[in-house]
Amino acid sequence: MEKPPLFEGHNITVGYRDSPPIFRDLSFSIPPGEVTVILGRSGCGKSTLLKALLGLLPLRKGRLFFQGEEMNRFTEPQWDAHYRRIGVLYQNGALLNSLSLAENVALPLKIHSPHLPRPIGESIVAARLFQVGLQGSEEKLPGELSGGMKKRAALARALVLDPEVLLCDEPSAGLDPLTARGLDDLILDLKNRLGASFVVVTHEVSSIRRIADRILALEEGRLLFQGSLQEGETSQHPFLKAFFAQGAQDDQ
Amino acid sequence: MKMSQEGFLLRLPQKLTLETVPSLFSTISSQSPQTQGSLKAEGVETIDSSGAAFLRWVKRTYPRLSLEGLNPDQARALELFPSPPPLQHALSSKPFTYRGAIEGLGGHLVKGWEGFVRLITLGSDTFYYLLEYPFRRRGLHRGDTVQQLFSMGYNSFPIVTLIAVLVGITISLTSAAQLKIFGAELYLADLVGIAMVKELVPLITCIILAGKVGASLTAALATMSVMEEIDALKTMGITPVRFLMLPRLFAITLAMPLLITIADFVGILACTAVGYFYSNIPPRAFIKELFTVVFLSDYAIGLIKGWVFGWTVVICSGHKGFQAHGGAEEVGKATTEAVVLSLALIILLDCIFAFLLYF
Repeated sequence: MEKPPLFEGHNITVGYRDSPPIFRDLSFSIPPGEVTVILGRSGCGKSTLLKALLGLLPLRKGRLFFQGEEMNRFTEPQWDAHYRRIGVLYQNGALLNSLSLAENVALPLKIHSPHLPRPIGESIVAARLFQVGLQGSEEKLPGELSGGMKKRAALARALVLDPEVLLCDEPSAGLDPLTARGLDDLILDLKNRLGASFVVVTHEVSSIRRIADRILALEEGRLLFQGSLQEGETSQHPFLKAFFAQGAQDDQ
Repeated sequence: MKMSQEGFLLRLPQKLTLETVPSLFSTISSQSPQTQGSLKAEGVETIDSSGAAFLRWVKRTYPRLSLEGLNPDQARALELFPSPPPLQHALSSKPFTYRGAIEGLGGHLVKGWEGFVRLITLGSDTFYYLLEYPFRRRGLHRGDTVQQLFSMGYNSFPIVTLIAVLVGITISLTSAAQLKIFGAELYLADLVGIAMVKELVPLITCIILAGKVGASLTAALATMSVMEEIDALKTMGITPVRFLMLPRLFAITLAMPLLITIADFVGILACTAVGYFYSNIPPRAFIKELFTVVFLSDYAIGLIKGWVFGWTVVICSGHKGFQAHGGAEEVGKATTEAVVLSLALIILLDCIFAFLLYF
């Protein structure tokens, strides 16, 4: 049997409290096991879409499905299970300031599997911090870290429960190209190794070219394009054409 | 699990995940590290990070247990799961030592002294800018100052009035009950008059201001520090202390006489009412008696105290606000510390005033 799409939206309308909707009647489908990149100009609703996928913003209209199950009808335990399966990398890391790095990364483990033996838990935390290149900084507080380090620590935290799906809000924004590239490689590695699916919001063209299997382009609250990376790159749509052309120039 | 002639034998379950690892761990950790034997992994289909970490742990802790039957993909996954040195102290607390305790105490003392020096520096800087203002006209922006004046004066007015009335009633009822015993009811006016004007009104007014104005000032400045806005001001060539502290110091200097006067007035009014209803002292007699002991100089002392306490509140709050750094957590911490420091210093200064006036 074919797997249901990871996320599927049918005519969803989403907005913040008391203000006009950020997008109306958006329909899209995000397949599992791939890296889907959401792209668009700043302010076009990329992060809002991500929030809607996470269930952090109520839908005003439409239906949103996660692996074939309608999210609007999730009960509290279902949400718990849902959040157990997805990891989120927030734009500024969103680490808890009162906890050390290691404690931040260990937090989901402590909450979701309180009976996990300590050596195993510590070993997972150490391995995740090692994977993102933060070994030796375990005892630092988030306030003592640079932006890139915070982001990598947040990635370690998002990965600690082996999520099936990882949603990343601008993972490489504000990072130096080498670190950004390292993060991209990490995403590809995790996709291949763990079979995880990724939804990544970004506007770095070079990063999109490296990691994306599919792209989903938004413009002013409308869906502009959805399809494979190749289709996107060869699309004749003015925005996508300009977007990828600019990226090609930057790469040179 | 069974013990055979070859030693320990454990068949691993289909899923080696967060759900199964805890029980496997307790099974194996009951064995001695020298246990010989094998773990059979033929049936294993899924391994997550905890599974991989578990197998790694077994390999490290039980060198004589062999792992058999892992398919090549899984074995590779295990290799890819890096085995860095385990976390040493990150998740456990440090042991107590006397040396550590003494060092900690010394550290606190040094920090306290440094904080005190910074507080004094900030205070003197702010007053310098205030005194310098008439000559150089820098740092005082009309909009900001009016806004501060509004929040310190107008917005604090209702609560200051209410508290002055309540304190007036309480103090005069307590005193009247005692004076009644000696038949000296009329002296209620003398007692509460002096107590209110010279002591209680400036004290309670500034305690309220510490909670209301001081806390919000610290929160605002600490947020600015945390968000690097203070640094931004510096790099724009603006002196943060002058830009942020001067309007507030100026505003509290202007607002204080108004607040003190109003609080004196309503406080005395409340006392007069208590005198009339509880001790049957006619208001006219009460006021006449009051002015035989309370003079303009007493009002002035109350006002000077109010100014000193008010400045203390602003400078302590500013000090704690500017010192905040790190994350959002620091804002709350700085605010609490600012209120506590302001209150402690206000009471200390009040005590010093008492010595100066009466000793």
